[in-house]
Amino acid sequence: MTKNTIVIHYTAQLANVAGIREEHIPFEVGEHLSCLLKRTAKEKPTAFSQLLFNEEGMIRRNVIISVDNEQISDVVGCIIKNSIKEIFILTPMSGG
Amino acid sequence: MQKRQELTEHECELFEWQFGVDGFGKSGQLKLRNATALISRAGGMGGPLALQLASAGIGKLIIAHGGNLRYDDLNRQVLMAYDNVGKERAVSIRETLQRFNPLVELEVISENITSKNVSNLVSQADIVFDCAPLFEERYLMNHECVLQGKPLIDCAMFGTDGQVFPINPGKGACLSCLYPTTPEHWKRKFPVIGSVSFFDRQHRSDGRDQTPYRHRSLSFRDTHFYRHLNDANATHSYCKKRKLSGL
Repeated sequence: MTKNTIVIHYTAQLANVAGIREEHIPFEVGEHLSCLLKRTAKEKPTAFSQLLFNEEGMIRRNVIISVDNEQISDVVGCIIKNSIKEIFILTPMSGG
Repeated sequence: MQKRQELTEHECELFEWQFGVDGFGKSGQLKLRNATALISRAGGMGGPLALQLASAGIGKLIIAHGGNLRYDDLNRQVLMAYDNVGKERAVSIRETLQRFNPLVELEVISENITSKNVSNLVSQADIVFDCAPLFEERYLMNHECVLQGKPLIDCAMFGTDGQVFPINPGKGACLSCLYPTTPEHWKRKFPVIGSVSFFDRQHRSDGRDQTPYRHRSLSFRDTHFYRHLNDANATHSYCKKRKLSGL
């Protein structure tokens, strides 16, 4: 497996609890996206995981994730390819 | 509002600078003049939006915003006035917009969107802008716009992030496709400095701008992406029903 780095962008509430808006994360080609996110969440406050994952440890249905501008509908089945450069995670927002 | 076939001389004088905008011209101005927009709440997003639509020369604005003005509204609700604290928000909205462009026909309702008024309000509009902070209101607007086949622009913000989600019923995802249920960790109070999220720019384009399914998030940090979701993915009853009935 090849070691690479990917940029993860956090938005809204997620950025608030993470205290950062983006970070570079090493990944292995062929790694599942959900595994990468769980690995990332381990180093963050508990609130970060609560925003991303439900009680069963699955990505919440209301969280929108895109990989290189393409929204991912099947996060569990998403495998990270070598060519991937960035991931955006958007938690629900509602304010005006 | 009475629709017209031509712009008046005074309208031409007012909006002359817009005629040169590529793809807009006099015909675009007339289309805008004959259009009615419904805005749900004129707060940190709906306020600047209403001002922009009024300055651009929209024919009619229907604005629904209930309650009385408070001091803590003033950091972002640009249509409001300090002297009007304690009065209905609708008073400030009406005064500011009328002073800004008296040609715009205004209908300002001193109540928020509810299950009782949503159908009537949406039916009067050509386009609907949802700038309400509560998911309950947003779902009501979304449901009604899907049923009536009206385009809906759903807007939200948090801190320096802003989100604009265009909903074109029958041709793409709706708000309930995006958020099937009220998010568990959402809180009513959100951080915001002025109306910065609203004034943010859109940055890159991946060349798929024509897709009606796009979803773009805006922020000062280049955050954006596109929504690719079609009717077949609809997981809730009214999008499915609409599709099955061929609307």
